[in-house]
Amino acid sequence: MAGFQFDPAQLSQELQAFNQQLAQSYQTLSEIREVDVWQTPKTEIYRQDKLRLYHCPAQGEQRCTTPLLISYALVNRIYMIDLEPERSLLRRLVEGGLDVYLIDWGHPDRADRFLDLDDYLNDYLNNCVDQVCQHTNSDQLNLLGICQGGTFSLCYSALHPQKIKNLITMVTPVDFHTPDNMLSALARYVDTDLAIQCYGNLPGELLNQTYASLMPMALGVQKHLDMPGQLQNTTQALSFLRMEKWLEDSPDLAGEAFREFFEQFFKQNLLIKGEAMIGGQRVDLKQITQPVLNIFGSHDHLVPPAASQALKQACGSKDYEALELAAGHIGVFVSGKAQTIVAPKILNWLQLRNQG
Amino acid sequence: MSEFYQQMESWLHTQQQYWQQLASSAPLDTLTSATTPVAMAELISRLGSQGEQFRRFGENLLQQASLNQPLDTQLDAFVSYIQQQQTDLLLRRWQLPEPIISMLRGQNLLDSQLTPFGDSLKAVLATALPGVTASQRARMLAGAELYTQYQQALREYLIQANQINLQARDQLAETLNTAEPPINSLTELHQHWSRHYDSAYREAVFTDSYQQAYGNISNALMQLQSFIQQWRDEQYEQAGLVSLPLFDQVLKQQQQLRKQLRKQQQENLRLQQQLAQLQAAPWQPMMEQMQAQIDQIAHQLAAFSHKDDA
Repeated sequence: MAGFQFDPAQLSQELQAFNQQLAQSYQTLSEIREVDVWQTPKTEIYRQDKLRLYHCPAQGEQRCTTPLLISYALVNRIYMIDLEPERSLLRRLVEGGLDVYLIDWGHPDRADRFLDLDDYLNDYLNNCVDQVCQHTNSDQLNLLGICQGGTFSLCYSALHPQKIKNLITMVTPVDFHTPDNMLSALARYVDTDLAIQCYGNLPGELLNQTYASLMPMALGVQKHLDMPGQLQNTTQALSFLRMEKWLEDSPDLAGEAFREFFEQFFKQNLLIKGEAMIGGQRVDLKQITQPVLNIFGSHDHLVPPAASQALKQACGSKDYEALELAAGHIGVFVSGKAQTIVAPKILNWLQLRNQG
Repeated sequence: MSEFYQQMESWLHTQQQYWQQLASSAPLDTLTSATTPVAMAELISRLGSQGEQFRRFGENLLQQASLNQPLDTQLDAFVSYIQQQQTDLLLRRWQLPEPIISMLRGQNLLDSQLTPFGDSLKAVLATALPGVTASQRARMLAGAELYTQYQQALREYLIQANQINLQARDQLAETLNTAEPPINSLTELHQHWSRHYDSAYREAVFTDSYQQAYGNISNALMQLQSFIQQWRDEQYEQAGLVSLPLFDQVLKQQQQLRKQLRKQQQENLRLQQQLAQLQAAPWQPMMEQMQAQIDQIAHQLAAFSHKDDA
């Protein structure tokens, strides 16, 4: 084994360095009392059941008169886009002069077991859209959806096109059966009805385990081994812990909504076929004729680029633009590129389409 | 041997320094105390156990290197150490939740070690047992059958996992034969292993056999959990308590009523808007209709005049 050479003295040094790092990690962790996230100023303007709608007013000169509503996936919390001031897509948008509204779907419990996609889109999301329009005295708004929230935004725009002026999707699956989609491959033989019968609402922890299992070593053993390196000082450690806090903060998924989404989108890929049904209405993506900006990561292991790129052919917009970022699923909104490329792109794209 | 003793002495010195440093920094018990956020306590526990495994393996490797063990043996030791961690993780993921294990034990469906019982227990259950009714026996048999299916699914899944391990090991061995510059740190070795393992895993996920094994273990675990829940629900109902299915039924009705109410509210709103429009400009719909008719006539006239010109 010519490519494998162990020098005991060097190994001893390596272990010593690891031990020192580990000891320092404990020291750093002992100094941290609170892991604060979601620091951009916000005001709650509407609540319905467990949902909360927040307003983050534009700072400085307002760049766009049409408000922006951001919808995230049901499975994680929206403060992903505002983990800390230096890594905050939200802050960059607000500082750039956008009036931003955020939907926090909340944590469903057993009483929400029968909430379906119709409730999430035609009730909750629709009410949020109306509230934002009322709050800003507008007829329309700009909608930005992230991940599953992007798929929801597409469905909503197709069902209520008159309410959406411009649509932005980020890391959004559209074609769920591209050959590189690991989640769909894993889901193939899993019995959805049995899952709902067994759990009621699908536990967020279970979904987290599934996501982590897509890269079992990188997100398992290797991540734990690299951890001491991330905990050498409080600033660095807080950055790491904020992300961990977000990862752990996974709401359960309302049972019926999960069943519909999993069956129609993951298993049968009905969205791209134009056959998905929500509240008795067919979702036809060709109804989306407003400008569309589609942002995705070339290294996304959860939503492969091809799954997002399919939107170009599927929607009816003549003003379609794609932005591919050399980043993973989460890197698209928390990395340095999210601050220097994504936020300015969104600001400029919306500003150009503000009139008319 | 003197070299070996020298290395061990140096290592003991290193260890001493490490424990002194640890002792002078924050005591571990304060890190997991009530003041520490729950997620952080979990993080500290993971950090500690992973660090401990890494250190222990490093020590073993150091010892093997000192004893001039061949590199092949060292590689096997590495793979076995990391495979053990991976298998532990998988077993934790797919094991039955503790309340179910307790319930199975309570019903004598499981011995204390969670070992396979399959056919032998089924044979016992097939005979009449004192104090056990026929329906109870049938229920116990059904449970035993589901448990056997779960164990079978777990075995098949672990076979798939083992194949991934073997493939990753082969790929790592190939890298170790050719890496330039040579790999000479434990950290690097881990990184290479992670890369090869995740690549082998990704390949496996797209095979039908892995997807089936994954589906089978997921479904078998859920079936067993559902079975126990049904059993518990029946007992609740017999005791006059509200079972989960009854509770769900009420929730479902409530949800349907809520939906109806929403649709009626939306319809009311639409009618109110129409009414407001009519009240604001009562002649508007008639004017719009007349305008449309005038436009149509104008259009026809224009077409007629074009035809005439031609």
